[in-house]
Amino acid sequence: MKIILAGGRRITYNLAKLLISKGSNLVIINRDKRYCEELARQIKALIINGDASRIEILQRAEIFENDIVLALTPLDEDNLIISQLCKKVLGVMNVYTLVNDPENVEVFHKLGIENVINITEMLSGLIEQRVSSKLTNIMSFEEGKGLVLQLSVEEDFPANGIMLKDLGLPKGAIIGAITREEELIVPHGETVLKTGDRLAIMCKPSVQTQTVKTIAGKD
Amino acid sequence: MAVFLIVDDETHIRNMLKKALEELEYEADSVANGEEALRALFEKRYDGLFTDLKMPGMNGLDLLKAMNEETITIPKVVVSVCTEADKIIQCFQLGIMNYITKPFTPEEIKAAAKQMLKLKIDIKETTQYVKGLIQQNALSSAEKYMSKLFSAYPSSPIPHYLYGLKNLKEGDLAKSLKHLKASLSLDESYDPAKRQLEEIKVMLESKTEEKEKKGKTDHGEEK
Amino acid sequence: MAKRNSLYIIIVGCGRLGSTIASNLSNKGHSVVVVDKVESSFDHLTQEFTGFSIVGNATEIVALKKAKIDKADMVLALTNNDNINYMVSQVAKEVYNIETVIARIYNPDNVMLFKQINVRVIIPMLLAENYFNRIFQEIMGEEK
Repeated sequence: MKIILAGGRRITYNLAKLLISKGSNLVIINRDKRYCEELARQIKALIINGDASRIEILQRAEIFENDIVLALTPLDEDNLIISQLCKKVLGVMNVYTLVNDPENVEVFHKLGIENVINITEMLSGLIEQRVSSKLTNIMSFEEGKGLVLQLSVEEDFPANGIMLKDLGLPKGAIIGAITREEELIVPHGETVLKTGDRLAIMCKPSVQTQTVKTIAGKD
Repeated sequence: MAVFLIVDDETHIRNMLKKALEELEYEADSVANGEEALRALFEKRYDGLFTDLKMPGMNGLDLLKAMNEETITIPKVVVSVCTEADKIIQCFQLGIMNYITKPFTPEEIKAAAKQMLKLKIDIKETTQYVKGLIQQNALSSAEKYMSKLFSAYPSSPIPHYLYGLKNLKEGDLAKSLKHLKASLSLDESYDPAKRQLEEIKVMLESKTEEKEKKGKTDHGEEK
Repeated sequence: MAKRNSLYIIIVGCGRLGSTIASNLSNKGHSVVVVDKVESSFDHLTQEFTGFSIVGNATEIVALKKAKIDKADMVLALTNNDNINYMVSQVAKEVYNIETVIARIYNPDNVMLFKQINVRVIIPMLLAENYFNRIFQEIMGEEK
């Protein structure tokens, strides 16, 4: 099983180094000849110089259905074609694509591309996290049907010192993970919440307010 | 047949609007600014108005304001590139029926024109309905509809005409006359009011004749 | 007389082909909106063009919405970039269900992607080639 990185510069370079260090079998496709030559010097992978939005170039990479393709160019329209060629023509199941315009996330979903990564939204989400100390929306998943919230337990929270099973969280909410003193705990009913615990809560948007209230009291 | 007024400073916009309306076999006059529009509105009774906002001289907003001041109550639709919320709100506060942004499709224009005509048809239907109510002596119900028509179409001859009919039913000929005359002063070509007025005149004449006859007889008897 | 319905047509790309087709269609009485990234592209439009022009990047959905793509009867993707033409075509077909979508592409290799989504394609090179073959046949035929 190989990983194919199509397009992109900085991201591709750094991602490639990381993946190689983890032992991945990598193919990199890039239009820029000089960039390809540089890559070839530094990275142990098959480097193909060509336009990944052309089927003949993709075919040179000998992509199979069980390979993973990442479309990383800075242009959404190029990433779209690469994804569609891989999915519809080459039958690749796992295609991930970078989307630059946040509005295109939904558009791509509607066009059948599921795994869409939007850096702009991620960065703005991270900024939100920095700014607000208590509750942060980390992300939504399943096209907004689910939310992941991050909340740190404070001394005065009603949930502090309470066992999870006694918390009384609304239906549709669950504490998926707790980070306690740098360790990740997967909680169960008997887990007792402590001050400083960073909770990763998964819930439906409709019960977000109630969930936060249950844990943090009036907020 | 239905006739609309188009107000826009750009020739090809006027043409596009006209073409869309002609597809429904409606007629359209077009002018290039607010002043010309007002003049046209004084000269002819239009079924509706399409106007741009940004025009040299009198712009769209000023036109809408002027129409309100002169109580020209035909339905109005703004067609503009402007998408600023406060401008749009201002337009609605001046009583427009709809706001269409440019670029517009022929279908949007046709739908708006049909909607404007529907408002007109409602006055016809309501008139018939009120006439029926008056005939059946359901005068207080009739009154409710009449006052609605009055406020919606203050420059239309119809509400006064209907009041005239109501007064007639109540037997108050003097009041009826007053309302019918008021109706004709708003629109001297409004036939129903004309005819009703004639009928009442005839009725009054025959009544005075009767009175004179009676007076003579009394006079005779008394003597 | 003017009973024939005019269509609402969006043309993406106001190069030589786009501007010519835009002018033709608007002369025929259709309502045409041309979208292009660069404002000076609209200089290609003739004097008689009676439609709308919008400056915008068609790969951004906000530009397509500004052109009211949801109300379009027809979308023509005529930029000089095949990938942009594909994206516009696919969005028009699969997000907005536009019945008639036509795209111009330079590279015939990706034709199957367009065919899969029912988008008709204009491939200049193939058209020229076909036409040349026909002329050639005629000449050869005549000489016989």
